[in-house]
Amino acid sequence: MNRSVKPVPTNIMLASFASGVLLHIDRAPPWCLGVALAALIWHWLYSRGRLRPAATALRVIVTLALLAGIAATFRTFNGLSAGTAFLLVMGAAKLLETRTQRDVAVVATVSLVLVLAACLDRQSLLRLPLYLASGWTALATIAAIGGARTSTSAVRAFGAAGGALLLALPLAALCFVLVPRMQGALWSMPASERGQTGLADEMSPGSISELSVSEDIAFRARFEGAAPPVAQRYWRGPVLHDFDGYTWRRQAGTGATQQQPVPTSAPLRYHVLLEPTGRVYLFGIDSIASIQGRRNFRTFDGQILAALPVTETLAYDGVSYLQTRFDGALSTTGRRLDTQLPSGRNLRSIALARELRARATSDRQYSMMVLDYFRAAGFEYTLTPPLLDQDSVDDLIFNTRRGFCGHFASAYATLMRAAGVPARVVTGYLGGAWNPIGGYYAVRQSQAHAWTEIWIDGEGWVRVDPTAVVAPERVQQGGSELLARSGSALNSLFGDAGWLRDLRDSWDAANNWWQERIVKFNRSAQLDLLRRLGLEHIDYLGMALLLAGGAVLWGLMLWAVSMRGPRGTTPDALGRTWNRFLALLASRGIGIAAHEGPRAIAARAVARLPAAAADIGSFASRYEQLRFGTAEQSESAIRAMRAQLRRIARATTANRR
Amino acid sequence: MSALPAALAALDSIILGKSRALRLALSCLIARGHLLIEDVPGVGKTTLAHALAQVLGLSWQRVQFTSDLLPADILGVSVFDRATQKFEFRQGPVFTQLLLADEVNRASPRTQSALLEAMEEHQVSVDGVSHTLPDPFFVVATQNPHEQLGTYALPESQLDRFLMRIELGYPDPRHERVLLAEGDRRGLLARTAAAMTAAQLQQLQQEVTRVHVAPPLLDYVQQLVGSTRTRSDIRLGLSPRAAQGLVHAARAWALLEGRSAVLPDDVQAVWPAVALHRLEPRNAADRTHAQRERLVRAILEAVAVPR
Repeated sequence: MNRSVKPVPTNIMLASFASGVLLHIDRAPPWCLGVALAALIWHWLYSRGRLRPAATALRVIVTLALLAGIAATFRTFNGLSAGTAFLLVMGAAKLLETRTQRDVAVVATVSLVLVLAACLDRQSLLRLPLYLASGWTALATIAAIGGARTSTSAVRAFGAAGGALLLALPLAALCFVLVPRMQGALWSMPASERGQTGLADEMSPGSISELSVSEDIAFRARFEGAAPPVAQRYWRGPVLHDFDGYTWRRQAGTGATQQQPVPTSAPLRYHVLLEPTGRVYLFGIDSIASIQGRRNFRTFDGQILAALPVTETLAYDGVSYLQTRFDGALSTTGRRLDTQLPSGRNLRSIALARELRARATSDRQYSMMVLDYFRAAGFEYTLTPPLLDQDSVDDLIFNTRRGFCGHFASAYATLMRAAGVPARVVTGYLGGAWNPIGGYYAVRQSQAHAWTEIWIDGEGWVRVDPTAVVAPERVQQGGSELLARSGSALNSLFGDAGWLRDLRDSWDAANNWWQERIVKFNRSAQLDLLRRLGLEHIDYLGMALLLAGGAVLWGLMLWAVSMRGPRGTTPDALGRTWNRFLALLASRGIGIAAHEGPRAIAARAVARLPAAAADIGSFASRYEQLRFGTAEQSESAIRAMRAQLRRIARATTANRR
Repeated sequence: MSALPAALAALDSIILGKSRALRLALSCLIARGHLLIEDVPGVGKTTLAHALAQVLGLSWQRVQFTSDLLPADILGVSVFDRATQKFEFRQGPVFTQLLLADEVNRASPRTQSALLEAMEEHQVSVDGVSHTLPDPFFVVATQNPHEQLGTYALPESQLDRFLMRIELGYPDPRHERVLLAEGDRRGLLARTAAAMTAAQLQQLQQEVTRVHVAPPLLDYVQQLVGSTRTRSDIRLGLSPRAAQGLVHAARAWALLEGRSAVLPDDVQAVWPAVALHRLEPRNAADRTHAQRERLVRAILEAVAVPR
């Protein structure tokens, strides 16, 4: 068996690979995880002497099979997912033949690259400690095998690796601040690899209430100046036109060009940090004038869509106007689009609409009458509405009378359309909870909302929120408080606990800081930081010079640290003189290991440098007496030794390398 | 001082080509330590013990350890004397200056521990009466590492009582040729005169304690010993007693080298003999002699000498 002299730090290595694999446990194909687990167990048993080394033929077969497995699963070796899985199974295969320290170094490196891949994949604050722990373990593995001075004790290895990480910190911070940022992330991944969360582009009864039990953050918003009141904070998202009697969908085809709103109030500016959704919708306060920060376009119905799906946290700036007016009339195609209803569905509602419309004098008065009807009909707002049948609006109005915002928006829009009033369902979020620690509004999935917009000739599109008449508190307070009363177990238990809210706010604020200041540290954030550091007019050359200067300073720091002896003491004059002698020997081609004693060193030096044998012998014995004997260290003794050193150097110039 | 080189020369002339092992053995004895010789039969273990006794001018006894050997066979027994109507203590072979315990691992643990107690206490207790052993008192024990059947391996706690463990190994061809040509060494042994008196030996032992040990050297010893306690591949590191022994053995070695202060080189010279039998590798596979040798060398190479 090919055993190295130094023992292999099996346990640290296995821990490092296992932690690297764990980072991908929810993304890698299950069979890859199985392979990794099997390899870990195999190597552990092997290291205990329970298994014999794997035969070469077996290793070749396993490697080929794993390659084939990756090819079959991904149909490519390219891309982050396939690359990570490939790395994972190859690391596992390496465990089958890991015997020497060199093999251990390979496994540790694979673990490090697994951490890097995880960093490219996801950058949430919650995962940062995992990445740190995993990277630290991999470095500890390398520390456990490297250098003559290191020992294989786990504590020491982790200590050495931690020290190295701390030493690297200044350089990392320097590079973070000064290395020029690319516009757009180099590592942005194709959207097909991501899941989709948040508001969808269709709405059926209950789809929003499913979302409402999620306390995940949808986005965070910071207003320039005063924030609008909660009842005005309608964050506009997908607009739905197609209704089949049960489900509302976005208009698939091209919409007719329509009138765009004209602002009649002061602009409202805000900054949004949108969590990844895997979709293209960008949210802004109704109605949105423009959004900057990501390539986007505006649809005919006033939605703002990003050019590419939002697969990682996105920061953008929005401008909105709380009050707008529309000039001109609705186009024929637009009117047709927003007044059509599925034939033969929700007939009782349609009859109700015709009856009410007949009593009204105008579309505007009709819309108010329907709201009054909703108010008087005794509808109940609930997160857990009963299931509705295919004629969902009829079922809601005449039968169950219990529903969530989506139900009422759907019913209201249907009643409007049935009377020939153009109406569309708008989904988005309402409200947002103020985070006093972070100084922003956190909008959660539980605040998802649906409302309607109707076209009134002469006024244009008007926002009507039927939920506001059924459950005014939903609009006045936002979703979370309502949730608490509707009896979610966790909320009823902790709903009023101040400390819990503080804790949540702090964590959320930390998350926001992490996303805004670290992960989204882009070119403009970098320039902003440099400006605040007083480097307003710095160019690339200046940054490069600063970086180089900082790197030199860092190198000096490393040098100073490495100059300290193994016990953290700097050598005294005698030690420095001896070290100079060792350096002289090195320059004469005589390498000295840290564990060699003075006698052994002197004997080798005399044998290799006979020209200075006498001086070397007496220099070494002086050193022995001063360092290990009873002789007192004195200036003159050191001076004499230095003179001897110079004589040795002169006598051996011929041996110089 | 001249007694030491003379003793070494005499030993060298009897055991050919084993200068390093002989130096270790001699430094072990002048450091007042007991010696364990581990090797296959027929390489001169008994001859070495005999030679040591002869050269140092010591009385010596040899006990062949067997599985039926009883503590009384070593320590002695109280016998009832009809004439005096009293119990009279008959001293066992342990009452000598140098006891050769041949194949110590063949005896039962009870007998082993009786011997080891005598080694530690320098006295034996029989029937409640303590009998002091002669001074100096050394035990040179031998064991055959390759024979496992019917032996009782010495436990770590007892191995720790031996300051050094050495092996002799086969002679090289040149020296083996001389051996073959000259015949029996026993005759030569009988003709060898003692190189020193008992008083001189005691004076040497005193001198060992006066060899200077500088603080940086103690740092080095502490680091060496400490590293055996933190390494993941060692189950049992070195004890403080082993650390003391290491310093003392290094002092004796320095004295043998003619120096009045201990150098790291001296520590390194005695390190394998002091450390190897005391270290317990974690993995059973590493408990072979070759692996232990690599281990003690690796520990030496992993600890930097103070500069």
